This record gives sequence, structure tokens and C-alpha cells, in this order.
Amino acid sequence: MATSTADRAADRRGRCRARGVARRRVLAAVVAAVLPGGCGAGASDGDGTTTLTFVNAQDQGTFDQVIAGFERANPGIRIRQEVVPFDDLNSAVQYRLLSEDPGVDLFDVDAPRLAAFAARGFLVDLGELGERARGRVDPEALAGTTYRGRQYALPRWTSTQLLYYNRGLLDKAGVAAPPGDPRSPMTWEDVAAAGRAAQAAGARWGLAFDQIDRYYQLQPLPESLGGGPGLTGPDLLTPQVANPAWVRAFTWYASLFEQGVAPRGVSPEQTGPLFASGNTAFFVGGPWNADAFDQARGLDYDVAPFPVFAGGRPASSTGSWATGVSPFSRHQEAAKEFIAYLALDPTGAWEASSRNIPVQVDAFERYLGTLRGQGGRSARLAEVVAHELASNAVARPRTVGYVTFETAMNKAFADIRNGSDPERRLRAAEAELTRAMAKYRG
Amino acid sequence: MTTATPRTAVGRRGRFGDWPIAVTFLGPAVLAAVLLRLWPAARAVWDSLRSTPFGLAPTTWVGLDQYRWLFTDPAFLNSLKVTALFGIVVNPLQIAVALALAVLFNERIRGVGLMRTLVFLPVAIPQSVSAVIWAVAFRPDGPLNGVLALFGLGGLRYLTSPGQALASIVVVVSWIGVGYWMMFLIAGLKEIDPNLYDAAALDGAGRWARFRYVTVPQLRRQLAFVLVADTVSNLLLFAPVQILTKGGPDGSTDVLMNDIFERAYTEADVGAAAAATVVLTAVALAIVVVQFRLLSSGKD
Repeated sequence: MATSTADRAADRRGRCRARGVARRRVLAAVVAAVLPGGCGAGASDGDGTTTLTFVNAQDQGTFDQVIAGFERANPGIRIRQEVVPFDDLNSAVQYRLLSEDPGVDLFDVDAPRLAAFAARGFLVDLGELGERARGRVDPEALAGTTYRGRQYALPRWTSTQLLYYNRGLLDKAGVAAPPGDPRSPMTWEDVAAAGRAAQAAGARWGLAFDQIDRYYQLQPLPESLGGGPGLTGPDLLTPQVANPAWVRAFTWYASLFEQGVAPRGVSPEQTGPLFASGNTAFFVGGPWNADAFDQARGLDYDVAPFPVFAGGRPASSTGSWATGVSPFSRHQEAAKEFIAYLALDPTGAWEASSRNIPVQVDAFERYLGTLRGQGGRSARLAEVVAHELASNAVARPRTVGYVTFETAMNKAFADIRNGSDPERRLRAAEAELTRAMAKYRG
Repeated sequence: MTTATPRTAVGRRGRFGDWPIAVTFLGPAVLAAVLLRLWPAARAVWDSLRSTPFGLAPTTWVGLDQYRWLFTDPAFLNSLKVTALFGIVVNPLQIAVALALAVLFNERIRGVGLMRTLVFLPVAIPQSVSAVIWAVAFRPDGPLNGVLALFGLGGLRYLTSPGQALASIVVVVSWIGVGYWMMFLIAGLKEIDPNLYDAAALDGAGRWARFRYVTVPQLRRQLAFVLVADTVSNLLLFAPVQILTKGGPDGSTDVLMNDIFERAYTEADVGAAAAATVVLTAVALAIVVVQFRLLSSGKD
């Protein structure tokens, strides 16, 4: 019996896929044998205990409490962490998943990357966990971790941005402290001017950004001027990063470094200590930075709402980390148990928050309540957080092209900081992205 | 008179002659070459002809379109240009400095052993650690600019300037590489017959003439090895770039290996990464062949 050309083609594709899978398994076996991470990961121990490997990019100790709580509640499961540097998480996870490494069970997913990761086959559909999350997790955060109607990860935290300021340095310069009212943010122009005044009075730096060069923190700049997130069109695959608002926003950003208000040649890991050491007048960062600043000796700081451009609208960053399961994990059900505990259980979500803003609704109320209960600047921080999340949050675009977009934009921001002409560099990024995004349009 | 010796020898070797012994000795090396060199190379060529924008999704045949796309990609063309510029500068520089140091440290001068060790020491430090150390040195408010300020000179921008970043990478890579290549050349210098220098001196040759007409020709084999190995190792430069600049600013340090890494592990575009790898391998082979030809064409 003759088969149709399409059938034969489908059969060939099937065989090819099977061979591809076989080849990847051989590669995975080699990787598992060679890499230390592959040894014993995702294993069932001799005593019947299942050990899950959780790859993440958080500070040491972030998950100690929630892991201890989970292991107490689930004596048959152990969680082993592999902490990699923030900038390396994406490539480390992709490298291991492309070689179908069973040594990764759970991993951190930056929420806007979820669509790209799910489309690439890097995440397991969490199925009924998504249903269970409804009503227990902030719906916006939950929607941010779905792709084509399926729940591929559960969000742990959300985020927002604040303006930290050094009271001593501003006093010394005779600059008025920013208003604490969440509805009355300073303008970026005034922050830069006040920073320069503080430098004239002895501060080393006027202003430092926590996540320097990263789209996450810089997206609100053009958004504040009505420039949009940088992607438009069907499926958000058309770049628009060189419109007048973007050029104005990044011309201002470039001027900070050109004039020496903000430092060049430092990495995101080094910016927090610049403020903690008491040498920087203003610092733009998230609530998570407060912990280190509280512990910094002699630092007299306070918080104010995230600034806005003169004549622009308030806009601040949001979104955060979610947790997903690798399709090559041999213990997917146990991995889902851990995700359920840290994302849905009120106690687990609170334990997992670690100075971040939990999206589990009970844990979120507890987070705000705890801060308000502490009074002083913690209470002011809580008010800013609540207001920014409710009114000014601008989410990063959810698209399969996000990883490509973010990679190109982060490079452009770094170049602008280092002195590239903002308009020329943004136009170059737009041209590069127009070309790169074409592959996702099919 | 006849002798049975030849027949006995044949009998001892069996009907396959020397083959079993040859296979036993060569087998592991051939197997390693096939598994670790030929198979990955063939796999890269195969992968480069297929594509998917979605990582683990099934790939489709795109054939040479992959290469057409790659050679019209400004980022890839920039990587080729940067890699060429880097190679043209770093290879002659490293070999010249390594040769000069080898000749210097081959002399009988006090403390030469210590100096040789100090120059060699960076080789023992992993490239990634070296890069982290240099990242601190290159900071605008770092120690290098501090030294310049002591002499009343303005600071340089190093890794934050498109005009200085590649030169800064050259410094880091040479700091590591010069001592390593120097050791091969010192070993070569030790093998040169001292009588040749004596004969040249008797003929009235000065220091430069002895270097030009005795040292360099006698070092030809070691220099050939260093030239080829150094070129290939610099073509595969990755860790310092990834740690210090990630290819920036303005793509000024985006060497081919960094470009390939980003295509594979940031973009998850395995097909394009494989195509770029094939191009890199072809470039490396072409350079090595030309170098061997050039070095074997001259007379001692």
C-alpha cells in the first residue's frame, strides 16, 4: 500500500526527532557524568529520600527557611540548592536543559522570560497547580506565568522600585528631603540636580541605580514619558525603542554618567554597597535592598516614591521570580509539591519571601502588616510599595521574543552608559531587534 | 645456505603482521579523535544546516540559508572583524614579548629564576580569576588610574571605552599568555648548540647578528609551534571577554566565541551557533595551514 508524501515526510520527521532525542540523551549522559552538578542530583537516596536540585540566582540563605519548613512537612524529600550568579542563570539553565540534564529539577524563572522558556520546551505544564493557585495568588502575577493558557511556573514574589536617599548627605548640601507621600514623587531632573548638589557638598556619587544596565529597572524611564515598553504589534514582536520618548529618557540617563553624577565601570552587584557605604546621595532600588542598608553602620537613610520625569506619568518596575519544573526532572511530582508549598501555602510563601514581596495573598498582607508594625521608614516603605504596585506598575512585555529583546536592550543600555550616543545606539538596537525578532514570527 | 629466520619472524607476527600491535597502540588515540574531534565537528556541520527559534523544539532543514543569514547579520560580521583585529594585534605582540623575555631569561643574570617564575605565575591562575582581578584594576576609580594620577596624568576608561576595551583585553590575555609561550621558547633556546654562537662570534657577528642568524633559525620549530598554538588559543578566547565586557562596549570586544556562546546559551539558537562554530573552525584551519606553509617554506 502506497503512503502519501506527507505521511512519509511525517514519518521521516518522527524518526529524525527520535534520533534527535536519542542523541540528546547520549549528550545528557556525558554531561551528567562530567559535570559535578549531574552527580547525585535528582536522585532517590538509599533511604528512600528523594533529593531535588533547585537552581536559582538568589543570595545565599534566601531559601533556607522555606526549605527547612518544607523538609519538616515532607520528610521524604530533600532540597539541594545550586546557586549561580544572577547574570549566568539564564545561560546555565539553558545549557543544562538543551542537553536534557536530569540534574535540574526546579529552577528560578524570571517571569517575563517564561513565554520564551515555555516555547523552547524548558518548562513542565504545572496543570492543576494553576487551578489551585486561583484566589491564593495575585491574579496579575499568575497571568504573568502562563503561556497559551497553561501554567508553566508559579510566581513567588513581585517587586517595585523606591528612591532611597542619604539624609546626612542631603542635609549637608542643604537639599530638601524628597516628599514621603507616595503620590508626590520627585522628578528625575530634580533628583539629578539634588545629586549634583550633594556631590558639590562632598558626596562621592549623586545617584546610583541598583540594577544598572538592566531593562527591568530602566523600562519605567521611557514609560514615564509615554514611550511604551519597547515592543508593540502582534505578539509583541515589533521593536519600538527609538521613539522620541525613548531617546529623551536615555539622553537623560546618559547625562548622569557623562557628568559623573552616577558611576561608570561598576556592576549591579557593586551599586548597593556604594549607597551602603554612605558615599551616595540617592539610590534607586527595590525593597530587598533595605536589609543591607539597615545593617550598614552609620547609614542614615530614608525612602521616597520612585521618581517620574517632569511632565510624565508615574511608572515603576514590577514582576519578579517564579519557580518552574524541568521537563527532564525524574521527580516532577515531588518538585511540584515544593512549588505548591513555597507559592501557595501561606506559611511557605512567607518563609520564601526573604524581604521580597510575596504574591501569595495571605503572605502579602503579612508582609505589609509587618512593615507597618515596625513604624518609621519601614512603614513608609510599605506605603510606597502598596501604592506603586496598585497604581504605577508597568509589567515587562510577555512575548516569546523577550529574551532576545532584553539581551539586546541590556547591551544598548550598557553602551549608552559608557558614552555611546543614545539616539544612534537605540536606532541600532531597533534595527538589530527587527532582524532578530523575525524568526519568531515564523 | 638458507636461514629460517625470516619465516620464523613472519610466523611470530601472525597473518596480520604488525596490525594488532598498531591497532592496540593507535586505537585509543583514534577513538578519542573520532569521539572528541570528528564526531562533534560532523555534528556541528549537521546542526548548522537545521534550525528552530525555540530551543528544544524539533528542527527543520534550512541548509545553506543558515550561513546566508549569518553572513548578512551585522553582529556576526562585527564579530569576524573584531576577532581578526584581535588576532592581528595579540599574536605578534605575545610572541615578540615571549621571545624577548625568553632570550633575556636565558642569560646568566642574577635572580633570573625568580623573574622567570614571576612571569610564568599568571599561567597558574585560572583565566576567570585573572579577569576578575583585572576588572578591579580597570575600574575608572581603580588602581591603574590611581597610578596615572600619581604622575599627574588623567585616567583612562579601559573597559568602558569602545576604543580601549579591546586593547585592555589584549593586556589581560597577554599577561596570562606571555609567560606560558616563553617557557616553550626557553626550552628551545637551551637546545641550541653553544658552538654555533662561538663560531658566529669568531666570524665577527654582534649580538643582533647572532640573534638574527643563529637564534631565530634554530628556534624555528618552537616558534612554529608557539605561533600555531597561540593563534588557535587566541581565536578561542572566551572567559575574559564574557567576564569583563560581554562583548561590549558597542560590540568592540565581541569576539567569535562570545558571539557563539550568546547564540547558543542566551538565544538558544543552536543552529546559528553551530554555523558560527563551523565558520570559526574553518578560519582556524585556514590560518594554521597558511602558518605551516610559511614556516616550512624557508631554509634554515
